[in-house]
Amino acid sequence: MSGPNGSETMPLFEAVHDQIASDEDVAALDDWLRDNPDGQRQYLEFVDMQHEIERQIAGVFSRGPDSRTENATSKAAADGFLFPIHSVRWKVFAIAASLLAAVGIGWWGNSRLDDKPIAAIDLDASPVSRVLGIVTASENGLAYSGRRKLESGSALRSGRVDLQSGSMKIRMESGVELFLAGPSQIEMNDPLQVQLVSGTVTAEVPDSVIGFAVKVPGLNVVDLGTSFGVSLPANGQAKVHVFDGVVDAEVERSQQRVRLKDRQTVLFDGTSVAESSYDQDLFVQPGMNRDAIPTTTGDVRFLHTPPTSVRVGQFEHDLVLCFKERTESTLLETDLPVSLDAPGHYRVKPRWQNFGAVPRGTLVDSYFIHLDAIGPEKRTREGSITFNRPILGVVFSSSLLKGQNEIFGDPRTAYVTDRTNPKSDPTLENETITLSADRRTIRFSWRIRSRSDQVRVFVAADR
Amino acid sequence: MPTELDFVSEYSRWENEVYRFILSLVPHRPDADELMQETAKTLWTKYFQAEEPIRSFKAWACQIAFYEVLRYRKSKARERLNFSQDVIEQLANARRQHDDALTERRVALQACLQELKWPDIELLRTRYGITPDEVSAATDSPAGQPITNAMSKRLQRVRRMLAHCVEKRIAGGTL
Repeated sequence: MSGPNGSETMPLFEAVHDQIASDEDVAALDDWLRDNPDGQRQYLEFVDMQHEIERQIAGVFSRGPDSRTENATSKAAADGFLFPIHSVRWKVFAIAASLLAAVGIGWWGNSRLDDKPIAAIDLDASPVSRVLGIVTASENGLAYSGRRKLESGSALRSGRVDLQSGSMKIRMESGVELFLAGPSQIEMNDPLQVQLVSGTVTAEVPDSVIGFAVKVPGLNVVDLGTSFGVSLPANGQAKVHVFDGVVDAEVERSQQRVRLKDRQTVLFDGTSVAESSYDQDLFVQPGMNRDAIPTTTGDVRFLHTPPTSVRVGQFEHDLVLCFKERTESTLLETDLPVSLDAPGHYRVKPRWQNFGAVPRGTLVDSYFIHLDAIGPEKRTREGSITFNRPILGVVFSSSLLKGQNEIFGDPRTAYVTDRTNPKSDPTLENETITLSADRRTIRFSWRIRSRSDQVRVFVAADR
Repeated sequence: MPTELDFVSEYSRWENEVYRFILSLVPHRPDADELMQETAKTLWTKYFQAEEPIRSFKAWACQIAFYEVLRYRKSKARERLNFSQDVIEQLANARRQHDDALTERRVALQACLQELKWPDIELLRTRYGITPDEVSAATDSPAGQPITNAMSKRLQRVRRMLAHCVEKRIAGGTL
């Protein structure tokens, strides 16, 4: 048998790697490798290279499930892991959580491994359509993924995000928030890893996610619970800055590892990292009004900027999306009729009689909740949205919604109106909705039928 | 006393190395995935039981992975053909011996990947991102035709091109 670049061995390596090798092929490879140091080196180089390609191109953990990994997942579930486990890294943390739970150690303290949002997300529901994150804000952003233009609400799958100008915020399904300042390019292939191709990215990593990494060629920046920024200018010298918390900067070639803490900055010149000065203009922390951002659970995601349309069929998504309409609060000049205004659990019946009103003179903010599922799928969406101010009223009847769209709707968004086809009006018939006793949380369980589900929530605004 | 954060930090750092080590010793990818999970469990348990400080997490973790591979091979002996024990041992030793060179090649490969043209990146993404059936559908290959028939020639070309690029960079000292 010849060497790896010959006519026989390379195809054999590839057949084994591509999982199409027969037992005879494996036996032949075993024979060839035995007592063949040069062959062993060649085989290791091949395996290593394929794994690295996989890691760089598609993320080593983003392969679709096969029967064996499904079995492993089922086994893990049977062992007491309550959420789907789709990557080795997820697995070790699941294992850790499970072991800790078993021995009663609360080492992650406030990290909510057992109830954090990532636990509920079925990342591998469909490997082809797997969503790794969504764009939650786009400020003057001109961005593409392949030929697809990205806007607030766009789902992001494996691939490159090319932000040509403006800025963009991405919420990864792992819970990590990314902020990009254009021009920047990133590759997203893994829920716990982003490759920065050029430009600047800032990551805010929640306590519940450990091990998130931003990579630039030759350097891994691994989060240990923090927010940090990485910049990669055209000269290839990456800068890393920690806003808060701790990260490890690891040089792949030399395996040098530097631990960075609050407000520390390092420069990577391609071979090593060295302390550097903080460049305020380089790293821009995403500024946002935290008070205006509600807490979401389950299938709900908050968009920091509104989508361009919420008309039926124009903004289809696997998730329930919520956004704040208009930046300015509205002072009500007359009483505002709403579908309901009292805490309780409701099932919306056909021809719902609206009751309740928000009194005139009240200063309100409105939030829009939208579900228009992709295709005919009938999966139930469940979740909740918690505001830090009281909910004053909830509107879901289409006539009320349409009437209010011009007053409260965001001018950047196209809504259903009296002029659009009434057959495509949103409806919440037979869905359930709960307004908590403290008026801060709205919960729902929606099983979308033929049309979209839309709700407007009025909350008290700060005067 | 090592803390859990120490473990997570070390594990995050060396996870890929351990996985590569396992992948070198087993010819079946799903086995490597399962073995990684088993190894992670063992590492977690043994990390806190170690009587002496672990000086090299990577070396220690690979040693544990090695024994997991041998144990696994024995348990699966009747199901499918794996590498023989002596070949596994020789590969593990070779891996340790060539560790630096392999790291160097990976760095070179990263630079080579940056030079790939978009259609080749898409091809690799298609190959590594989705399952064989879906690849078959996505590449318009005739129904039932295996993935390799539809894509193998193009994949081979890209792989060889990358291998050539890596060799060139290593030889020229330009990583």
